[in-house]
Amino acid sequence: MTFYIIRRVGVGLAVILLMSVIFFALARLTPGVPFSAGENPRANQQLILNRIHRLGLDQPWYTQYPSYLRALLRGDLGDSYFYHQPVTTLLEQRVPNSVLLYGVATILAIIIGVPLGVVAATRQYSVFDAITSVISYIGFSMPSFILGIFLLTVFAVWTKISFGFGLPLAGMHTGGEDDLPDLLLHMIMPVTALAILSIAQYSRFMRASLLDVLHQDYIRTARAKGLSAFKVNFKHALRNAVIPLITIIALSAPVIVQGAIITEGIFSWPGIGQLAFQASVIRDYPVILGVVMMVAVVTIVFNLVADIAYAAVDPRIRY
Amino acid sequence: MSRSALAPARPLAAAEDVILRIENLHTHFRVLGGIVKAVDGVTLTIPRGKTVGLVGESGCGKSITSLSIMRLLEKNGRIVGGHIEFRGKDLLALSDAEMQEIRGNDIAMIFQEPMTALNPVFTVGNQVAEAIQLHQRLDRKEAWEKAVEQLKLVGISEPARRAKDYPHQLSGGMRQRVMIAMALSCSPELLIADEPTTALDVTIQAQILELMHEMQERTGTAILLITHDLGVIAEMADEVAVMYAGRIVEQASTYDVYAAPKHPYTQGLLASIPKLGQKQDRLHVIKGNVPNPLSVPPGCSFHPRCPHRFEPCDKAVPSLSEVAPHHLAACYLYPHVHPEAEMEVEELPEELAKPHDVAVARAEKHISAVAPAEDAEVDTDA
Amino acid sequence: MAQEVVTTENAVGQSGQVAQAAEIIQGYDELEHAPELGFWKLAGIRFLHHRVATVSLGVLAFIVLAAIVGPILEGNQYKVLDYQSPYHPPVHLQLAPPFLAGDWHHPLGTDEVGRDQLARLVRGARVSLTVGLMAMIGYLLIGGTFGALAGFFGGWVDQLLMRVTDVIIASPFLLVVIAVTAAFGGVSLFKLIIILSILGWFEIARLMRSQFLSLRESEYVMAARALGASNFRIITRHILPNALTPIIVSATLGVSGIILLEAALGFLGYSIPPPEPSWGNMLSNFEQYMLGGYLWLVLFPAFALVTTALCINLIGDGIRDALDPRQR
Repeated sequence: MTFYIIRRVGVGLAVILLMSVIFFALARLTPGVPFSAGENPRANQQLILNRIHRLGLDQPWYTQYPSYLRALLRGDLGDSYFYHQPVTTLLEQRVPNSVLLYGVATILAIIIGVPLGVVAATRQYSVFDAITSVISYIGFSMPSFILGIFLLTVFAVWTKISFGFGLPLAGMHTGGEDDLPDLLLHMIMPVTALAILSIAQYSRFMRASLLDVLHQDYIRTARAKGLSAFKVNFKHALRNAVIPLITIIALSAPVIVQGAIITEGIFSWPGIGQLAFQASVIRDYPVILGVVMMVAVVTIVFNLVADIAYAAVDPRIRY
Repeated sequence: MSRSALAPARPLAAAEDVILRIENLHTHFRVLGGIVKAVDGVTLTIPRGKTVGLVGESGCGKSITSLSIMRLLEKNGRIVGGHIEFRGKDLLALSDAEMQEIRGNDIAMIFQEPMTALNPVFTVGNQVAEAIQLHQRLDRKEAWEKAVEQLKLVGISEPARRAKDYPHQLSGGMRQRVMIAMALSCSPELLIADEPTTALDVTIQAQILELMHEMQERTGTAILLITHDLGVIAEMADEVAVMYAGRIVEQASTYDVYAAPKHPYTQGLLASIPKLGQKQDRLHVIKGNVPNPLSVPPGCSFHPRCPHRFEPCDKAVPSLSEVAPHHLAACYLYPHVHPEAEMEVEELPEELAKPHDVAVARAEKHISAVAPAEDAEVDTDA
Repeated sequence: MAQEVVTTENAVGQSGQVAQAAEIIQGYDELEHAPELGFWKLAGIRFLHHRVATVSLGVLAFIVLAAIVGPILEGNQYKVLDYQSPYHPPVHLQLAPPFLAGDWHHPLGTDEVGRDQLARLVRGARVSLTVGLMAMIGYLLIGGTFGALAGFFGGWVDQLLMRVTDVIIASPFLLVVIAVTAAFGGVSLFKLIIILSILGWFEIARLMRSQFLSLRESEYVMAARALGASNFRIITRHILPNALTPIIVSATLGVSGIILLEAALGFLGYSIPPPEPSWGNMLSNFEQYMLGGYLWLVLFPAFALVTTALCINLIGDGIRDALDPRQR
């Protein structure tokens, strides 16, 4: 088992390395000059060229890469061209906000989605099943930004006009930073917008997985032993059905760190998504690379976690 | 639900010695295309402590019969007629809770595929102990100990260690032993074994059969052995019932059936077995094929394939009657056999079908109506 | 009871085995048997009796029709600026007579510069559907080929592809697309399709690869090999048709994903530039519209997007149920 972990970690590192090369190259090779956006277009050409030279950006990318790599290993992701701050500082500021949003959304999705799927499976073809199916499908088809727009329009603007009260329009806080109820109020709409898709996915998946298990032979054996329907469903079937679900959840975890670009934009939520998006637009490469590398690392870590969790839960897989 | 005009023949055992009595069982399934009458009037008795074999080709309804006894049918199946008497009670009239009391406890069942019949995420000891804990109200420790004892009884070496293994760590033969241990752990009066050895190697097969025989002697359990293998029947069964297309066509002691089969179908089956020492150029075949379950031929369902068919055979279903001492057969060739009275069976309710299945069935029927029609004997009632 | 001996020559005079076979077949014909339906026809029937999927197909067909015919009928209406009539609401009911208000010239209203929403909507439909379909074709061609080759040949080719795929799939897709699109300045419809095709084929490749990997070991492939079939023949004639089922389902569902992705890009301003409308960029001013109370300008594009995606998803589900009859 430990050997397996070591091997996976090794492969993971290799992948990260590969990614850093690819993205670094991409960043340096895409057309356009750094600083060309977001800066004063009438700035002195010479100053720009000086800065480019100082940062070593006029070298071919493969010469630049080793120094980048060295810095990376030291934990230094460079400084943002735009904010003139270390990238790591920016990440530190923004990541918790995104995690808060997406993390709560994911937890909600699990708490709501999984039981929905279980009930839908145990009452297949019932009205309940039909309703959850409809909701799931709508959830799949509605990207979070549309839902976000919808929520904002209805609950922030229309209710305010009609009833004089509405959910906050933007940002994380209206009052002070320590005002928890205020924070929660601000969180309601973006979290809902993000959670709906996950709820749809998890409930659908849980339903499919449980139905699959319920048709297996060993469930028939369990019934033949005289176990009650409750025990059969919740002890025998569920235990088998959650196995693939764990993998799914673990694999969708990296999104938490990735942030939701558009949703954060709509709700003006200061998170990673916003940061990355702005950086992409103005070609603030250190930030872009920093975000991408961080997401890559988290993804690979969670892939490993998923594998380990799967092996722990399913006795058929032991290394 | 009316009964057959002819009193059900039970020449093979006195009433007190019978554990299970199935009377005129009808089990129907609603499928794409119509209703499948999987069990179409089966009457069977199982005497205490004896082994009754239920033999027939794939699809003749023998498994469904056993599932009907245990009331473990799929959602689209329904028992629409008959009685199943066990210990003086009609099993078909019991509630779910009462039925759960009986399953695993008084009537146990083992299945064909030991590979998939055990839950992969629980240890085998756990699974055997579960039934014990449930029905005998022992605590976990005691149940576990009893489970280990059971594993020893079925011939698994190092039972204490093995009990902590998971199903995928055991071979097929061992898994089947575990299944037997699980089934017999609460000393049931009846063990239903549905093709228990079909999926095993021949040598393991012999061991398992031997084991079952041994357990039967030790505990006095009656066995309903379902198989398509005539050799297994010859080895294990005291009595045999031959099934074809949802009905029993012949029933007698094993010796009588094998030595002097009365029904043409049984005769055909036995003739198909190549015999050592007998010179044969060509294997005997029963002409034709098993009928499509959606459209069983009228009258005797075997008549299209029967080399002896004559005038009454396609008119009405022959009843299972005594044609020789303690030997039942359903064939007009014999004097006492006459048609069965019309059965009143409950119609399978419409709601059991999923709407689009019925629609597809109609579509398919429409297509078949457009395609060259074979003959007018269509028995679907979708 | 004499048993009938199997004759080795029947009435017509055919001998031996042929006679036996003929008798058996004759016996078979006497029995009722179910009409044989081909796999695809049966699947088609199953699909049509999924009421929901069929209705979705109908709705989608309507949308496609509108996308094709609409711009032809409307012509240049979508970019005609009419500063005289900005922010006209769509035709709607009202409480005072004449009970039906709105300008039938602009049945769905106008935006801030007076452009007709109906014309923009149908033209946007054309964009969304084209991008969805074309990009998916690109995914299938590139991803399908790579995946099939990787799955079939295995070895280091497979490993390499898998590592690269892991890398790409681990990256935030939207971000990468934005970065690339931003780098190019503006994008035309064609460039957008190309960019999406190049960046997005990895999922399909992975799916195709896993299919090939498992089907490669099937018995009928071994049989074909034993008969001397070349690799190419095995791939195209034997494995590919069987691998198609999950691919078709995934592709259908993927189209809706692409459409929503294009909408997201449009919303952020990285899709087709104005005045060419796409459902996404029709929403990019949504704050303005929302705060001004011009809700129809937000509602119609959003509704169009959700409906189209929903229909495609339901159709994909119907296809999955039709092709894979293990009823869930």
